[in-house]
Amino acid sequence: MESVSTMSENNNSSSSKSSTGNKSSKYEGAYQVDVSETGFDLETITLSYTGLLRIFRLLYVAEHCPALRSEALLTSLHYLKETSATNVYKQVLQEIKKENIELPADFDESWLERTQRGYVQKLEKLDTDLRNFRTNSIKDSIRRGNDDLGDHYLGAGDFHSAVRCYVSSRDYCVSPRHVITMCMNVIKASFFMQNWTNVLSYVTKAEQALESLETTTKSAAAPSATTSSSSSADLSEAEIASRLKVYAGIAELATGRYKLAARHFLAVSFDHCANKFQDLISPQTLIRYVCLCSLATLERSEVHRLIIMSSNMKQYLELEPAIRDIILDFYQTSYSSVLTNMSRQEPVFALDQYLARHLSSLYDEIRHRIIITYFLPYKNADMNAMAMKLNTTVNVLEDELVHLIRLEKIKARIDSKNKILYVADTDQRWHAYQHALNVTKRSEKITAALLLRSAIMKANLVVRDASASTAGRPSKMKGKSRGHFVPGYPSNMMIMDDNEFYEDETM
Amino acid sequence: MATLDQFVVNIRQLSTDGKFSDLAQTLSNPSIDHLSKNIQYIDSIIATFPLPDYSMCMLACLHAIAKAPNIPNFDAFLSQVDNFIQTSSAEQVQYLPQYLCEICHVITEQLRKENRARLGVPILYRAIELLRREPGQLLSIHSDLYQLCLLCQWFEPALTYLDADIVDINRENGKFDVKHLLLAYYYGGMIYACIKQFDRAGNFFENVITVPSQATSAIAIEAYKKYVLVKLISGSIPANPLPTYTSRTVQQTIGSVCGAQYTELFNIFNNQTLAQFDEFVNRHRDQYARDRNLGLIKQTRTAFICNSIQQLTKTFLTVSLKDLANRVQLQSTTEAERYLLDMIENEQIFASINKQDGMVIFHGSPEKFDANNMLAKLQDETEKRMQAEKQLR
Repeated sequence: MESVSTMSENNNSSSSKSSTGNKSSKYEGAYQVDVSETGFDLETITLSYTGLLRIFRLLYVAEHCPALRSEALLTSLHYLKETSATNVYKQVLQEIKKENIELPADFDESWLERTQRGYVQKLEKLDTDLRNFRTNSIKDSIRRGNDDLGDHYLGAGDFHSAVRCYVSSRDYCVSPRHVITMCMNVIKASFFMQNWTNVLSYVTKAEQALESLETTTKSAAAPSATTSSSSSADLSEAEIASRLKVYAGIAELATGRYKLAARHFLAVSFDHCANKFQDLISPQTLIRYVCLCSLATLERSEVHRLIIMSSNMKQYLELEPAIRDIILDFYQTSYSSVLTNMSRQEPVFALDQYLARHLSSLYDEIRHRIIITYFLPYKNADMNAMAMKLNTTVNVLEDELVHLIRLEKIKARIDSKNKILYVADTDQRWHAYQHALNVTKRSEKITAALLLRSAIMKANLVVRDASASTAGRPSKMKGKSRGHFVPGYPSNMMIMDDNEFYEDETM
Repeated sequence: MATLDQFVVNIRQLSTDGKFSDLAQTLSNPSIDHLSKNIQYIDSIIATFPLPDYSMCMLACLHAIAKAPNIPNFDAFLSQVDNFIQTSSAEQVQYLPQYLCEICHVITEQLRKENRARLGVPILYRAIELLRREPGQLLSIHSDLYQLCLLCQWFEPALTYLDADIVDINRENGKFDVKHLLLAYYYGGMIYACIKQFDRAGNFFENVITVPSQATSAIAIEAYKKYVLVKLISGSIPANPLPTYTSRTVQQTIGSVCGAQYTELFNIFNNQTLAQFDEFVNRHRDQYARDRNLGLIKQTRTAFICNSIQQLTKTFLTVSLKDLANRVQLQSTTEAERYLLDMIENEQIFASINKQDGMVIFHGSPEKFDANNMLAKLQDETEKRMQAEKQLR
């Protein structure tokens, strides 16, 4: 709670600061996070990531964490030199100058122009190459030319053109492996653009291609030779599959489908993640996503089976002891420690750009799930004890319970006088009789309506356009068809009604 | 004059001969419409037709008077018509139903303008008695009767006809206009709403909306607005507001014209608080006032509160009065208590109030369905349904 209060002081956006009320936009827009109590360090990002993703993550931290801001900006500047993303470089430089941060000693003034010149030169070269390939119309070289051009754009941060190039190379794909490469490239570029639907559709395409690849390699008599030769250049199939799972998982998370995201993430093997995915995701981030998504959506037994007992997941959990504590506490139903740990970790979660927007809804879901799981074995529960376990007061808890009962997630009733929660017993017999009566009433109404309708059909009555009126299009009917019958007619009726209905006494 | 005399002799002859269908054709033939052309002599002609033998001729004369641009002595005409209805022979009148209906329309219109609706009610009542072939038949006179009843707020005559389910519609030789059907059900719905039978009112309005249409009538739109309000008051909020056999044009027009103000009410009723409801109503108050539905809106507000309290019965076993007032957003505990007492009396909820500690205890329904009469009632209803079903086939 402490870090939350400091954050609410610093928060620029004035809306949605109340913790109980507004559930949605707690971490959207410009918010500030104080990570002093969590021992969060920028080193974790700089060491576990490479490439453009590292830059983006550092910049996100810089935007939202004032304490680490200068350090993050400088580090990102340093790593930007390894890429050719000149636009981002310019932006970061501007930010640094605005903040009056000291530039490091080895700051290279001319890097910007040099890189830009080199970028433009390479772009021209690649373009002319591609044109040559096209005139020669060799499919494979056209494809590779498009790929290279796309890579070039990607490195500079021009994601839109990158996607364009990659998609155009689609026509020249021959083997499944080409398709896979093409899909992976499109996915990567769409991922940076945050175009989640694109990511998801290409993930499915890539998975299909993978399947066909597997069948072809199995049927071919020499699998080992092909895989060993290709593994050096491309990635092996298992790795590709894991990669796709990560992309899919992040896409589902960003669009709010937490259960699917959890399932995707759980399928990612630890070896791949720890060693090969540095430009995409680190194991610590992955386990954080897994923790939040699965606690919010999976049953307790599934949590046990899929996370605690899984050898794959165990390796992740070792890296992040805080997460491991949360999950184990949840399974052992010590909910108050779960909630305290979660709130302590909240600032760290808030610095992840894909997680931040969904943080409040995830937390709410987890809280609801805790309440539901807590109440499962009871026939009646004392609300005071419950409130203590859940770190709230009885009144707040009562409101939450009313909300949950309305949503029909708990079947219970509250005894507000003694503050006890009872399981709602439904009198089946009463419901059956009531239902029968309702059905008879409804059938009465329906048969009457149908009888009338058949009478209308027999008399061939249809509301038609008054042929006397001019245009008579349905949209004008309100004005025109008032000429259909005497104008003052209904309004006259309603005078009576208003007076009648005004008083409550019956006639 | 000569042709007139001849005409009169002719129809007299046909009458005495009992050739009623020929007579009907002669009378309704517009090219030899002597009667209306010679309206000034009509009184003397009428004198020559004693009832009940010459009912048809009399009817034709009355019809001619009614169709004239202005009726010289309306009260005398009224008593003439009344006399006619009470003493004519039903069999003859059956040949020319449209005349009687048109006479009734003219009478209704005149009485409405003069604000003397009460006079017309018995006349129309007897007219319907006379003309309808079976209890379940609808005439255009029904819509007139309902209209007059609404105007003078005298509902019993209307109710006798409203409570009968309609299975047939009298064509009236092609003169029955669909407008009369719509109006009959519209006014019928309003009458039921006046006497607070909101269930049946909702059914009637629904019937108006579901009449097959190629173009939308303003009656249907007004009916929809009242339908929404009545449905909310009676507390039964259906899953999809209109049955699937509503015609497309009606649905579209309803959506575009009254979607924002009325259909929205369904959503608000289910999901939102009293304050939001009030705010919504205030925003659209002009529209409601224009439609003259303010009274219904007030009743909807009460229904909203009752609905909120009922939702609370599902979540709570006991709750303090103060808490109840807070959750439903009422002004004070006394107001909450008042609503609770009303609802308990109307058997909408089952609860008891403990004044000592200000607690409300919600019970389950005491209806155990144990008693014999309950079972018998259920059986009865089921049998009735099966009969109606057979009739439908």
